[in-house]
Amino acid sequence: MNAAVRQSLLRSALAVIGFLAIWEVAGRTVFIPAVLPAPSVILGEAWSRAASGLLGVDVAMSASRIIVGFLAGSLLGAGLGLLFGAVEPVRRAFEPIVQFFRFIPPIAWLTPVLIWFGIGEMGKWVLITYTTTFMVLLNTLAGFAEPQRDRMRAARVFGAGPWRAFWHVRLPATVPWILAGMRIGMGNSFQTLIVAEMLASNEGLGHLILNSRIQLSTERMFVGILGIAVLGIAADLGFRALTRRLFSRHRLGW
Amino acid sequence: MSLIRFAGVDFHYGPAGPSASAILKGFDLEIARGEFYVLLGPSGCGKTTALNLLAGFERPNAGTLIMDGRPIGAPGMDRVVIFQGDDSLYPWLTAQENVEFPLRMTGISAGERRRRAKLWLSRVGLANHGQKFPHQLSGGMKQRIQIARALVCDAPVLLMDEPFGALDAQTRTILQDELVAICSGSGATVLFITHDIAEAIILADRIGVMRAGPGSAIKDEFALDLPRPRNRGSVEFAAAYDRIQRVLGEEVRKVVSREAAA
Repeated sequence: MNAAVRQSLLRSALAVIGFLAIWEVAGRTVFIPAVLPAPSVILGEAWSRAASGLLGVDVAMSASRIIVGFLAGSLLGAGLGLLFGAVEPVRRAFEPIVQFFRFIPPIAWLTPVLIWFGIGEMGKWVLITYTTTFMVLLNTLAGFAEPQRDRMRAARVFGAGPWRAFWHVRLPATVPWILAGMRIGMGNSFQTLIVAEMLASNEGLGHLILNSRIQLSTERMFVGILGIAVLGIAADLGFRALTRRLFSRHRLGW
Repeated sequence: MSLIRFAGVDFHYGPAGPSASAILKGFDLEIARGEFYVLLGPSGCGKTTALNLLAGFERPNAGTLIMDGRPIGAPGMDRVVIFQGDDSLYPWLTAQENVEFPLRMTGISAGERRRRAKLWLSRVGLANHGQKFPHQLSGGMKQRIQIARALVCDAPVLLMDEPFGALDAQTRTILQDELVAICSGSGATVLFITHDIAEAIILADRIGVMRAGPGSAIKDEFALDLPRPRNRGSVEFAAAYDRIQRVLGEEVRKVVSREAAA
């Protein structure tokens, strides 16, 4: 670790500690816990809830929904993106449909999804898949908009037919775009997840937040809210570490 | 009997018609087997277009384009290209894998691929850099990868589109000398594009100077029979430079004065 990195880490740590300290003081002096609980109070609540196993259930439910929907959406988005990118007439045919649905936010689908799939897991998977698919699909298509003229020409000169040029040049050139789309899609998935869990679920972090309001337990509500942040950061760190390792040939920029 | 023949080739972008601006008009060129032919011309005159037609990237609108008795078709390994700049290298492949790429596409076994790529990497002075990725190498080294990738194919024809244009003057000089050493005795026929007269004299058996566009064609040709390697400081070099400069300079001045008027 070089001096510049160490210094920037130190600065971030100081900022976090300072932020928590101000919050702690405010929570203990200015506000009553029902309005803004201090971090120490939230941590205590998280600890007792984790010890009873209830927090683990909510986290596991939320994480499993994200993972299933994220993987399905990534596969679908990348698959469709590659198909559209590779076959121009298909892209032209389906572009209007994609553009139409792109502007319908996932949450708008919540009610029909409830009618079609009920309150079970399938509905959440479908909504998160929908969220991820569009981000990955649009980003994959953006990757295809990069001309790659000389690389494709070189592939033809050096003996690659259309299929091998796609497999050996187009696909690897698009990998960083697909992965960037997945990363954005993962971020958006959390929004969809929480709203779906608030409105149509009996467990998960979103349900915890809404249910705490009904029970007038602000510190428990904050356990849910901060739990989302922790889960999100863990998912992003995991994704970055895994893709850096799996796609070390590509310069991913993270 | 020439290996490559352009006869009355016209090329323009977009649909034909009075508004179509011709890049090439009545373009004639013959290159003999084993000849190193350099095409010189003011920028934008259509040098690269001529090379793209021969490579098969573009199709002529009129005229005939023949190699080895057959009309030019799709791009292929019988006439390999060394591109301008480094956008044709595959950044996710190492130098070694980039050079292996053509062999992989032709289904040559992994062991044989590695052996031949290693041989060419060492011939272009990259023996110790095979495992590096292009972004870890300098501009000159990247062009060496391109040279190795093209020559590993044992192609009868090499097409080079200003391969050293983006390099600094010193690196360029070194690569020119290396190219002379690699090409002499290889039997390959070369079409080399540049706007650098000195580069043309170092490399060429014959030099064609193109007119300023639109509707360009070759204005004048110069045969150079100076022995190789050629000395940049010799009297013969200076005399050739002077002769060519007079013809090319006139065309460049046309471009400059047109740009000033616009």
